[in-house]
Amino acid sequence: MKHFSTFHVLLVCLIVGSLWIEACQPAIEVPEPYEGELYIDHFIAIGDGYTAGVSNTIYGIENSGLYEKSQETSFPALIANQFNLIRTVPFSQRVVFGEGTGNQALTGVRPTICENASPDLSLKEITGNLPIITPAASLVHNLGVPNLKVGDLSNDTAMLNNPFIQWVSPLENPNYIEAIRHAEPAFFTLWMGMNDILKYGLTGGADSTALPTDYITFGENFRYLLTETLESNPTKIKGLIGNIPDITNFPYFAAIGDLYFNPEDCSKAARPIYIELEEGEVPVLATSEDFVLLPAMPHIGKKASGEPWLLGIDKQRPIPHHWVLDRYEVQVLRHYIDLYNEQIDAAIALASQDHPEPRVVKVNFYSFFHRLSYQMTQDGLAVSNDYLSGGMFSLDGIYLTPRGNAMVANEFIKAINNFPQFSAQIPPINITDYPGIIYP
Amino acid sequence: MKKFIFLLLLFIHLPLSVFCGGLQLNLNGQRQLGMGNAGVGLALDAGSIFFNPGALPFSIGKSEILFGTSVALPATSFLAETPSIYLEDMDRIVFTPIYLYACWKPKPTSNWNKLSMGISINNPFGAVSNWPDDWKGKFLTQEFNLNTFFIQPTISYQVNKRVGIGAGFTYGLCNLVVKRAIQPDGPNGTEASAQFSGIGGGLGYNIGLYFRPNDEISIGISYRSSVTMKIDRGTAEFNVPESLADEFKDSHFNTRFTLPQVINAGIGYYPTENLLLAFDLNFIGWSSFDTLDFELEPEIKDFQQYPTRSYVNSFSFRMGLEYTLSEWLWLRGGVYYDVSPIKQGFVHPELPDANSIGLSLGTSIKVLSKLTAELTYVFDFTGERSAIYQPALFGGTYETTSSTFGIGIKYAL
Repeated sequence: MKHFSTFHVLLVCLIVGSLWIEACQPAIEVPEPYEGELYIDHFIAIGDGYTAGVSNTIYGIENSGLYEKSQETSFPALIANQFNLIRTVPFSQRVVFGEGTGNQALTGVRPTICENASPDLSLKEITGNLPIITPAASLVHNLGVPNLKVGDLSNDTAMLNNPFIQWVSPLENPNYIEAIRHAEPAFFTLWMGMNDILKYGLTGGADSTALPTDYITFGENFRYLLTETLESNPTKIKGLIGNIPDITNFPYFAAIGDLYFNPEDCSKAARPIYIELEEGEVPVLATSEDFVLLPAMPHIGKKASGEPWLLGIDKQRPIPHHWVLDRYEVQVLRHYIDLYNEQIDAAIALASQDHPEPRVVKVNFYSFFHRLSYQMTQDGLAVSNDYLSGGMFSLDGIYLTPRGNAMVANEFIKAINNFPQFSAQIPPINITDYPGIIYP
Repeated sequence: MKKFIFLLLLFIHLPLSVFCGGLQLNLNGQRQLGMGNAGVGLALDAGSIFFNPGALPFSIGKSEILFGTSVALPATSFLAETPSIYLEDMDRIVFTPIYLYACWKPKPTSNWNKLSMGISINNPFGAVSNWPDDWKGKFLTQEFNLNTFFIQPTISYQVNKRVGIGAGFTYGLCNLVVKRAIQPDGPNGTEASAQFSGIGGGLGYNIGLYFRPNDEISIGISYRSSVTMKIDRGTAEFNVPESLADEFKDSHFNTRFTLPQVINAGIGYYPTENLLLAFDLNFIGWSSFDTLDFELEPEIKDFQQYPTRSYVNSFSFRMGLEYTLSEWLWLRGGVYYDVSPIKQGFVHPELPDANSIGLSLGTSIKVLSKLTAELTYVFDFTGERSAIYQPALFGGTYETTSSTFGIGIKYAL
């Protein structure tokens, strides 16, 4: 009996001990994030539509351009979410309610089952609705202004004609630089210049009113922009500057390629595409150096009413030159981008040499979007510049999806964490939390 | 009787499963489990049919039925790579592998008295790994459930009073359910998912040699062959947005994976009559588990998977002791070290395995002359393992702790 009692006790200890241990979840030590030398409580985002959060993701619903849902996942808002993990920081955006400011919308999508064939789409331009433009009620942290060019910064008329500058500022009739100075950023992201080259590319080099900004003006304006930004809050200011990607990596340019695959019949061989380089010229075959633009996609291989010729397939009906960024135009475009990026590098070097402490870091979006064209894998997601299935770009082939914005935000965050003088550790974003294209 | 009921009443909790040694569950007998799961060099009970068929003639009397279950809950946590602060825990689930060994020896007067035979039914391999559906690794795994049932009819032969050999033929059955998120997003931002479920089988064998040079020492060597599980025409179901329904039609899949061969060597030593010491070394040929690839029939163009597993051979080292307190009470303790077969770069969140250490305690209580209750408790932990699954670029730190409660009954004649 004596043995039994001690055994009793032993057994009870065994049970209790195991219950206690069983209740324990392993406790991995979570690193504490920190802001270091940065003043994250006054974060201002400077830029264009990419900063503002322009997108075209939701099929069928006529939202496009800048609208509430797309602004929720603008990359500055996503960066601010991560800052909030360290402490509560204010970050406001002036929301565009309703249908949005307009862009392009897909009214029909049918992905194909044939490898390489383009999805069956119908695209339509939608004008959208501008909100009633009044001065902002209070400080707006996201100063992203759709369609703003670096070239506009020395052109008061151009800035007056862009209603979004007023949209994001409490000042009456400001120009963009005034709006930034008023905001007094202590930490900023600056990503601009895409619009200086975008229109040229989008119009296939055919629109004489849509020429790229000359690089001298670009350089002067960019230096001016950077200097004014740094002087708006000289004791505290630190920031990140994005350079300009090669926009031919974007699906608006890259989606079609130089071969046509029949989406109905997988067994049919690919056909080369006929393009016209200039209006009225003899059609030529597209090469890998030519880019057929996205608006052509729903029409390639189809007949126009009353005519027997298939667009792009028959020599009699080549892809018109405004839907082609041909090999010569591509060279021009890339050359401009290289020049712009040189100017950006020079501006950063100039700002750094005048100041004892390094305050600005470059984020290389040129190489980021280039890598994307080869597909990247992250957390089991394959992201690429593929149209629709790549998950990065919205339906317009130019702006980004929430997942695309999350990856851009992570590039900014990585740049912060990798810059020793900032002494900061900002937790990156889970890109798996954000959708790519949403299918109906 | 009173003691027995009392002890049963004390068992309320259902603890965890073990994420060590890959898919091996190692919950195949309470007495062995209580000794750090050593048993190859021992002739203890009908469990020898699994641990070392050569020891079976020395392990049982006239006949014996051994039945038990171990109840387990895994507790696994994941912290994404620095400087992320994303922390997630695996869902806690109940998991109860069982064993049933029924063995029989002919009468001493019979012509077949040197033979012993029996049948073993157990779950030597398995895993349950469920993460929240919206977790960071959802495109790699959301749910992974593998159950195996191995049926092994066995025959053993006592060569002389010191040596025994045995062999069994194994028929393995498995049930696999896998669920993952896939890329197309639907309205309301809900991802599509793919669910695979299938039943399969495979064949193998289990052979052993047992040698007892004197009354104090026994030595055993056993070999369990690999078993290649074939799942044919499992169902593949896709939950995708309507516009993609034609592209991701519900379909069938085939898969093959090979559960490893295991080479075991063990020693039992009786320094005194009441004390048994046991040491086991297992070599597990996990390099046969190379991929987990779902071949879809008909093929689906945009379906993406990460089939590479690339397991490597591993080993485990076990030691334990059993002390006979009285004619009705035994106490056991043990420790083991399991090396993970998953090498750095291929740690997939379906099975976030790591090297682990286990500590066990056990007891047997003879409640009736023929009936013994057996109880075990095992605590297993891995410590933090920084790991990445390179093909999908998904990594972070994993940690698993587990408690297992085992309960078994022995009915011996």
